Amino acid sequence: MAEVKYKSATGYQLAALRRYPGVTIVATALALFASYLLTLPAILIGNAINILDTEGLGFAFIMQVWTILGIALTLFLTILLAGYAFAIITLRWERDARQEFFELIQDNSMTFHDQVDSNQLLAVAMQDVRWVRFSLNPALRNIISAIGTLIIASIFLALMDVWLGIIVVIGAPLYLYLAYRYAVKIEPVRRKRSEQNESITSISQEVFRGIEVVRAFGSEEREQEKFNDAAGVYEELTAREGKLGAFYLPTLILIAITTIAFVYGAYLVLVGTWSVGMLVSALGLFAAIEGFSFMLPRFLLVIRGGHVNAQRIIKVLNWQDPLEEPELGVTEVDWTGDIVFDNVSFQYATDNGHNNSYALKNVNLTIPSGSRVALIGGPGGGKSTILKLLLRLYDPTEGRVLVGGIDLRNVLTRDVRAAVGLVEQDIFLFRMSVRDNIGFGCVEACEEEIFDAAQKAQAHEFIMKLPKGYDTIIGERGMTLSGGQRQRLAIARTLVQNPKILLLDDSVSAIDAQTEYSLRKALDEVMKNRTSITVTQRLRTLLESDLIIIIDKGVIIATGTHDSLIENSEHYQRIFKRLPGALPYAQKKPGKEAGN
Amino acid sequence: MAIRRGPTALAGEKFKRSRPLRRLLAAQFGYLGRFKKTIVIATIFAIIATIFSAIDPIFLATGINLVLVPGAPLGAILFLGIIYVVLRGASWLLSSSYTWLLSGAQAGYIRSLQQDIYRKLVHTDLSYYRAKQSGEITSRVTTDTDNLAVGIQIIIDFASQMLLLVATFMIMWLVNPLIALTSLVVVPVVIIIVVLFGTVGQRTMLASQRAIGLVSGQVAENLSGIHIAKAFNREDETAATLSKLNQESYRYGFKFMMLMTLMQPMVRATGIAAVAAVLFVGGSLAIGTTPLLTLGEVFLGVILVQRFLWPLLTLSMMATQFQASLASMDRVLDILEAKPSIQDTETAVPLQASSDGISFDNVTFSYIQGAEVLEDVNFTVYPGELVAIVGHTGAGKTTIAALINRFYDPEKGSIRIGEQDLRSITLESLHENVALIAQEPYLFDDTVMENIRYGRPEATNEEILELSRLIGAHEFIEVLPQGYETKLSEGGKNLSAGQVQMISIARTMLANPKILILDEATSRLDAYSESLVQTAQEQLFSNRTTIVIAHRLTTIANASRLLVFENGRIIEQGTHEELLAMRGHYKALYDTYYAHQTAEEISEEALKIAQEELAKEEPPKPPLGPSMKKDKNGG
Ligand SMILES: Nc1ncnc2c1ncn2[C@@H]1O[C@H](COP(=O)(O)OP(=O)(O)OP(=O)(O)O)[C@@H](O)[C@H]1O
Ligand SMILES: Nc1ncnc2c1ncn2[C@@H]1O[C@H](COP(=O)(O)OP(=O)(O)OP(=O)(O)O)[C@@H](O)[C@H]1O
Ligand SMILES: [Mg+2]
Ligand SMILES: [Mg+2]
Repeated sequence: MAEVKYKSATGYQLAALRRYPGVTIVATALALFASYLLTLPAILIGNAINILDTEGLGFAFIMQVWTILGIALTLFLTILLAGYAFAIITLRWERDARQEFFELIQDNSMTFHDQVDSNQLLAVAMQDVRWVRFSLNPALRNIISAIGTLIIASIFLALMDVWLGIIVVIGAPLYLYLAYRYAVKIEPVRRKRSEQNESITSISQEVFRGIEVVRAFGSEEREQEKFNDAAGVYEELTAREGKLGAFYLPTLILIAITTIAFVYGAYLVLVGTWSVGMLVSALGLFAAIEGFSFMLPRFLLVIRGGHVNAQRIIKVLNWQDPLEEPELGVTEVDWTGDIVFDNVSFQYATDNGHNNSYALKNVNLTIPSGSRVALIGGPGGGKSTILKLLLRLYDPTEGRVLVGGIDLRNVLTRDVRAAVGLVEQDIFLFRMSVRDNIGFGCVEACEEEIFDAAQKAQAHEFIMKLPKGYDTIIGERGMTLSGGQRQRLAIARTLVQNPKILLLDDSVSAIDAQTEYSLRKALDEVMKNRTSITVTQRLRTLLESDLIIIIDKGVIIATGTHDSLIENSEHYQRIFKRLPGALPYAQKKPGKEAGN
Repeated sequence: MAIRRGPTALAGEKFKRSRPLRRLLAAQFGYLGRFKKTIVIATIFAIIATIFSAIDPIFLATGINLVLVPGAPLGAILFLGIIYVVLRGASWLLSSSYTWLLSGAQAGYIRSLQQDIYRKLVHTDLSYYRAKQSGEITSRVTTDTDNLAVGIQIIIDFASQMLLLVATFMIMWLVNPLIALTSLVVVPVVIIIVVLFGTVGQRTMLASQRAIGLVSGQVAENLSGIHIAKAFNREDETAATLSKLNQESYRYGFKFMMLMTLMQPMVRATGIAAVAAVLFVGGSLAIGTTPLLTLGEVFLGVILVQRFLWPLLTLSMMATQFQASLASMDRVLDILEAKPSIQDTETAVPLQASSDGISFDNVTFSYIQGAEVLEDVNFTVYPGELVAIVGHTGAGKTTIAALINRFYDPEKGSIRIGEQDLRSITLESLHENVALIAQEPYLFDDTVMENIRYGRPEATNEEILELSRLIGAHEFIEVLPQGYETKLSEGGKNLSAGQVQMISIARTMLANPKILILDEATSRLDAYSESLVQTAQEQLFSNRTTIVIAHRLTTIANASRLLVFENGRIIEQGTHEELLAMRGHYKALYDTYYAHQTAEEISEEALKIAQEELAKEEPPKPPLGPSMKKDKNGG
């Protein structure tokens, strides 16, 4: 039912060749022709020696020399052309495959990105794609040449003498078989080693990222031990791979065959069947075979490894996204309309499948158009999840989310996200200038909007104090900014987008009261007649909201205005009592209510 | 020698090698340590193998000469065959053993380097981490160590290839000087190749590596910010940016590959042309009334000239890898030789049991020279006291916490615990006694249980469960897919922000420190959860020195004293009542902003007054410290 984009790893591995079949055929033919040209001098040298032996220096001899020179030139052009053709098709494929890979995983919904480690994705995009290319060029290209040489040389040898032919016909497959066995033996160790290398990388990276935690708990020694263990395993695997590869048995077969051929050939010369030139030719042909054999094992390894790389890639590419884009999205959505959660339940996918905990369970909600909503609740209650569903980062597992009466499933994610703006809880800033970070949502130049948004987000002032103002480059994940500074940049970034529905996920937690106050005034301005949902822990926001939603463990506990909740909701009263100043207010409340 | 040391040297971008070749080589071999003997033996093996393989064609040539004489004994041929096979076999055995020995040594070499670099990095100044991407730091441990191991091999291979070259040339010379000289026709081509690859090749390779690095950096960043790209509909643009970089990388990659592709036919064609030349010269010498050469020797010349070319090329190819390993050694030495500015001095002692309380004495600090983040900060937190720090965002509160943990040292002034200066306390005992709940919680990719246990490795599961119950974390942990055994991915992206914060609180509380610092530790919790945490804190940490940094009034409600920060200075300090009575900054803040966190409406008028008050920019009042120090009853 579901369509699988890439059926087999082998197909993926060979995709570059299948894309340009004509070029591939020509390139392969050229490579084989080059192999032929490479073996030819051995024959010609033999001839020349024969000529020397029989008629001496003369026109015939000189002709041989010139022919060899001519072969050199032709060979140069042939290999160059073949190399050029292979380079074009394989490198283009690598470029396009990487791009395709990135675009595909980028389009996958957050469900995918929750499940798959981003470091691993990076490794696949960079390393695996590259190794698949390696497996074609240089590996396959050279193996074609090597096997071509082996076959052509064997034919020449067989033509020279039947027995020699038989020796080669037995020896060559044996050689190839052993070489293949060798690759099969090493390949898993090699893969394990590179996996161990990945794990060393992630162990270090994790510690380097969290270095402050490591320091604060004085656990440097513990981390060192953990690392040492990993490094120890890596050492063991590296050594094992190297040692397994050290004794390359197939070479012995070549040595044996060469020696046999030498003795046998010399015997043939002695008995007069062969000329001395033929012996020279035979030895030259073996030299040509050997010239290729030393790189054969490495390339065999790469080809075998490339298959595993291709498997890893298509496993990612074939991932089935539960979030399906509608064929033709509804474009006429009234984004200022009511927001309705219709019996929504939601589960995050986990990588091992068995997840029976719901982040949201049977949520029914109606948010009237243009209202200001506050969302409160305990950690893990499901507040962020509600906002993410509104942004269509996920589709509900059950039930529907409607805006202006239209199920978000029927709206293209692009349109949803153009209308809905979210300031996320864990701020992510890019390693770019402050200006580019704020203007991230701009499609074209938007200097004005950037300054305007920065001002509204109360960020302008501190930005101007940064070393290079708006052109200051922000360090990795914004680490050189204070918590409140990061949050204000993120708010500005969303304001630039000018969303119809604004979602603020606990976006002022690190902002002081005074700045928050100014910020809210500015936001009130922006959000006139638009719907906004704010996750907050601050009382003030609750008071100013038209609707308060309390959510705990994925279930809606109560909804209503402050006044009604403080009357009716035990849960709300409990929260509210904890807030300082609540008591005087609660006491004052009856009076106020009377006034209303 | 002008090598800069310390954090700035580490953080500084490096474009050129900063150490002389000799030093780098010495370091590279110096690090071989216990593998020296193995390496020496391996090298000897490699050299003997090389010599064997240089001379084996001689026996084939002798055979050819033999068969030219009619009626030569077959036994002699057999004998030559045996010598040949023994030589080749021995050479195979030796060079295989060389690889075998070397790979063991290399693996060990990598490991010891990795461990040393890692050890150093874990103790390196935080400023180094701030200046670099974690991916780049990681490559010191992985890529650079691999490069160094390859470097060792390159040097040995270099020696044996040189030997092969010299031996081959000598044999040719012995056969006939003219043949040897003829073989030199390959030299111009080799020079062209070496020059081409030394200049254009090297440049293209570096450019191509850089281009790939850019692609990889872009992919990495886009993947970690994927949710932002989605939220802002920037997928097409990020794809376009990547496509541009990708195309660039293709362009350089293609150029480089073409250069490499060019080399192969050049070498092969030159080899064959050289064969033709030797054949011609050899042929001319072998014929005539007094032949100077036998046909066997012509054959030998032909074989040898082909062997002559490869070592030359291998050598020129090695140059690149050799350079790379030197560059790696340089970077690695930067780390290994840097003196972290924060480390135990010789006279450092553990924190004494009696030392408690924190005092800042005229502390000035800046992350970037010239831009002071803290200026002349003075305050004291008495033993057992709970003090709150409030102030605008970016005022320097987190910086205070970082300084107490000695992530950085102050530029001027001193920080003391009890009477002990931080700089005289061993880092280990400092971190055992001081614990921080950081503003940005960071969890490891491990189970929830192990993440909490990180605070105190010897804690039992029961203790962890009990603590989790106490702070109200148990409830949500229990319902996670695998409860306490749920594995966190990428720092807890499968948890909610508040859950992450709870776990980091549990982790620190489990550590049971003498001094506790909470930097916006509960900012992501709702009031109810926060109150649970506060109750737990009271229960577990009452009468311990505690600093609380917060914007929310709820969080600082229990503090006995407050420090008000603005722009890196303390402008007021005292108890809540004292500060209100002072009618200064805090009062203005409280009336307008903190109070409004309660239910008070802010009248426009009150706001105006407050803002005027704040705008006055009064010079900081003389610190209240002294007067309060006398009646030590802050807590
Ligand atoms: N690693 C750093 N490198 C350079 N500047 C920094 C670095 N860390 C913080 N800063 C700057 O130092 C100043 C103080 O930052 P700090 O994090 O101490 O503020 P804060 O009071 O904790 O603010 P918030 O309430 O927003 O968390 C800020 O202007 C910030 O930009
Ligand atoms: N990416 C994810 N993968 C798996 N589970 C998740 C993921 N994100 C959140 N959860 C789980 O879903 C539940 C709801 O999380 P959510 O982030 O919506 O809570 P929240 O109300 O925003 O909490 P907080 O106040 O702590 O931010 C939690 O139990 C959390 O562990
Ligand atoms: Mg949340
Ligand atoms: Mg801070």
